[in-house]
Amino acid sequence: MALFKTITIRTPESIELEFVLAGIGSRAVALMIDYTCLGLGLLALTVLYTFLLVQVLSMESVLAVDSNTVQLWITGIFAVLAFALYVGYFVLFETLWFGQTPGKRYTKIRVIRDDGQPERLVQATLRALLRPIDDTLFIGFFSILLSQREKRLGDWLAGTLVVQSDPNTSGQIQITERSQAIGKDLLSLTDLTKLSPDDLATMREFLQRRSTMSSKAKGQISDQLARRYRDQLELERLHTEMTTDTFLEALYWAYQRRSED
Amino acid sequence: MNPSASSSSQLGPLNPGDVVSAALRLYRDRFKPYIQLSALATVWLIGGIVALVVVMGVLIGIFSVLGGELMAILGGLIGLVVGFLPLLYGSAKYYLLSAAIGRLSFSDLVSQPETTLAVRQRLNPKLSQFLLMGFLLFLVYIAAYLVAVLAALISGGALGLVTAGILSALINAPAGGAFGVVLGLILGVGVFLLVLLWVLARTFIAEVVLAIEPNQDASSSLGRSWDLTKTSNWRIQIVFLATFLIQLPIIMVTNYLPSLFLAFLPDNSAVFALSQTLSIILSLVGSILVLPLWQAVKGVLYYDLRSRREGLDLELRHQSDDGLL
Repeated sequence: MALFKTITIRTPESIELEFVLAGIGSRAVALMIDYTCLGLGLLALTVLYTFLLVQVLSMESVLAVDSNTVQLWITGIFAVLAFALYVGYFVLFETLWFGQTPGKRYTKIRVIRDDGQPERLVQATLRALLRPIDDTLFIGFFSILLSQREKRLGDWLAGTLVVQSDPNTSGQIQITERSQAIGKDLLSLTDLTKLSPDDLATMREFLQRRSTMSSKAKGQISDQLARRYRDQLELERLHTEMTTDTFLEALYWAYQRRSED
Repeated sequence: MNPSASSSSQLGPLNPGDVVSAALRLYRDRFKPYIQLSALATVWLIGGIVALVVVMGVLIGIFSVLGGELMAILGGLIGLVVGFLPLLYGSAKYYLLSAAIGRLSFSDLVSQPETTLAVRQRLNPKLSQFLLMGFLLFLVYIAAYLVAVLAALISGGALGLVTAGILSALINAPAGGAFGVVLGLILGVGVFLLVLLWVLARTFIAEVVLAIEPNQDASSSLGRSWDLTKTSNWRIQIVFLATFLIQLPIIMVTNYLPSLFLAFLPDNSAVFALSQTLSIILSLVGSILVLPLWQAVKGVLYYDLRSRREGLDLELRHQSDDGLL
């Protein structure tokens, strides 16, 4: 069962691109983070405004101009600034970061155009302008929930989609020199074609994520995987003693080496 | 091309937003069985409460016929004790049935779907453990509440006093005092919420553990929930917030809007009674609708934590069907 909707976009050059839609949960989290940032910005602006106003009032006797005029000016300027912050936050970030805001970056989603191109100023502005309407009475929420391509009104108007950005393969895998040496042995010793790319992916996942696993589970999985690949490769016995983790590291290194050649 | 994304259909660890999306997706796909379980669970709980009230009422009636006012009070007390039994039974049933929803969503995630009936049959022998779990959680929350109040008082009070002292010396007493009170209150409320949410996150998946893992009893499930959530507290807080945000439209329609609307009705005891009944029924409907979402979130979160901490997804990739449950 597919939990996340996948859509395929055919570009004018007839290249098919596949995207996974962002999903309402990630969009809700992104919205929460962005509104928190925005709220903090508005709070800072209000504090600054109050501070300035108090300063102006205390300097009333020194200034030649009527303080009422100055107060009105300050209020006016800050009202414009607050509006600019509210609209500009989304427009600016989405334009400069190619469809991402701080919230979207955290949740690893991004806005793209219907044809798969990156979002531009026009689309970002349209989305931002319809945001207040989408927020009213959860119109955007229901629209995302009920539409096939998870679009809110702003997305319909701007012709955009919100998709998951490529999972960045963070978590570098450290392979010790000893494992590399064993890997070299493995290359000459066995036929690594008996392992599939799926097996490589599993090894990679394990090596990337092992540091966050509980030690007991780590040992179990490591043991299980090492046994399986040893049997798959028909390795009866290895000449050096090693931990299962070292074996997996060596195997991973060797497999990658092999596919590079 | 990232092979890990394309080669395997088994879901790995999820980020908080995806936990909620996946839960909502499961809920939509399995709307009927989930809502049935949820309704049944709620009926058991309400049934327990009604039974308590009825037993108390009947005993008060009988005893007051037998003797005077004193006997009626005695009857009420006995009724409270006797009526508490059906309430306990009802709440255990409530726990069991709602945990069954979590188990169903988990078994969907690991591609070993089960029927509602099979799950209920499997869980029924554990009914007493679910009751015990409810009791344990109750104790944990009481303790958490006390700790939270204490921590809030100490931290908020300290900050308030210090800022009030410093500021009233620097500026003037009333302004400094007011500022100190406000700051202390904000910190106090913050600390209080943080402690409670922290404990809530650590115990969040306990009943799902009890429902899914075969050899667990109430206290070991609680321990397991505590253990699995150890490094994920912040992520779970975000899951809470996102789920809360998503259930808001439903709660809005069933709970908040009607009570707003009903506030404008004329003052009249008949209308009042009617509107109260209506709003109680509506909020019950709301909680029946929302319960499966939270339970599905628990199921998905359990899967996520097992993948993260124990590599469940890596295990599942190769071992196709030799029975995990």
